[in-house]
Amino acid sequence: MSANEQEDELFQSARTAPEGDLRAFEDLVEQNQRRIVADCRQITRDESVAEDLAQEVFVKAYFGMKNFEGRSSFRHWLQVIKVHHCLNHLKKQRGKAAVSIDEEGPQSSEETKALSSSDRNLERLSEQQIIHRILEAMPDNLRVPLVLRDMDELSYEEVAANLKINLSAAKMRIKRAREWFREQYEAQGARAAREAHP
Amino acid sequence: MTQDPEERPIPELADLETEVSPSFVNRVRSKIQRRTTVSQYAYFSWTLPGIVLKEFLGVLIHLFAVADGGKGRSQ
Repeated sequence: MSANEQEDELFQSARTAPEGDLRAFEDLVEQNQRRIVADCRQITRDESVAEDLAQEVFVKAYFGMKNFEGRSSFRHWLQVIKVHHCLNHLKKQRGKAAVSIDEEGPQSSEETKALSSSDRNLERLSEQQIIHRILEAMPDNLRVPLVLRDMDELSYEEVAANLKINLSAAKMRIKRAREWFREQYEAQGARAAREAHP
Repeated sequence: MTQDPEERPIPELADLETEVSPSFVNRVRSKIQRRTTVSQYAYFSWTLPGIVLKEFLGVLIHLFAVADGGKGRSQ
């Protein structure tokens, strides 16, 4: 049985559990918490609220699971709840968050330079930390679509719908974000990894 | 057919996880329990007056019925 099938089975147990019995749901939280917190952190670029957002995502999932129609896997359903919740948080926080997500921001060659020149201590960071740092330096209009596509595994259509942009714009941003990421990862990450594990 | 490297997902992102505080699950549980309690309280505050009123009317109707029965017997 695959991990996804096991998770779906656990989800069925959580749905059919008597009221107040949270054991199966807690197992689901245990299994998914690290990924959901990482996703929330990358979408909002705010480590301090990532856990709070992730908790609210699980609470929403708990109260929403009775209405779950089973048209997708539990994992995908949870990702969708998380994406909506984090994007709403961004909008609330920035007022006009749509601007930073939807519009082409000032191109961040300065940010790229800053990342490559001033972060010498990246060499000492673990691979995961390097990835976090690269994503944190990426502008919102590239980072959010990339996270939705490659971390949350949403389809291009879902990314476009969630960000309220057209499909070709979503594809273009994801392509550019991947280019950015690979460039930075090769420049910074591989060097650090080589030094850590010669 | 080989895929353009830029079209391929970044594998490092698919497995990206982060450390979570040990009390995370406990905090999720407390939030769920708190919200459940609040919703039960709201439900009872909304329905309890109706139930009490219904019971009260039931008692009144019963009392009138008993009183009418008593009058009928005394005549």
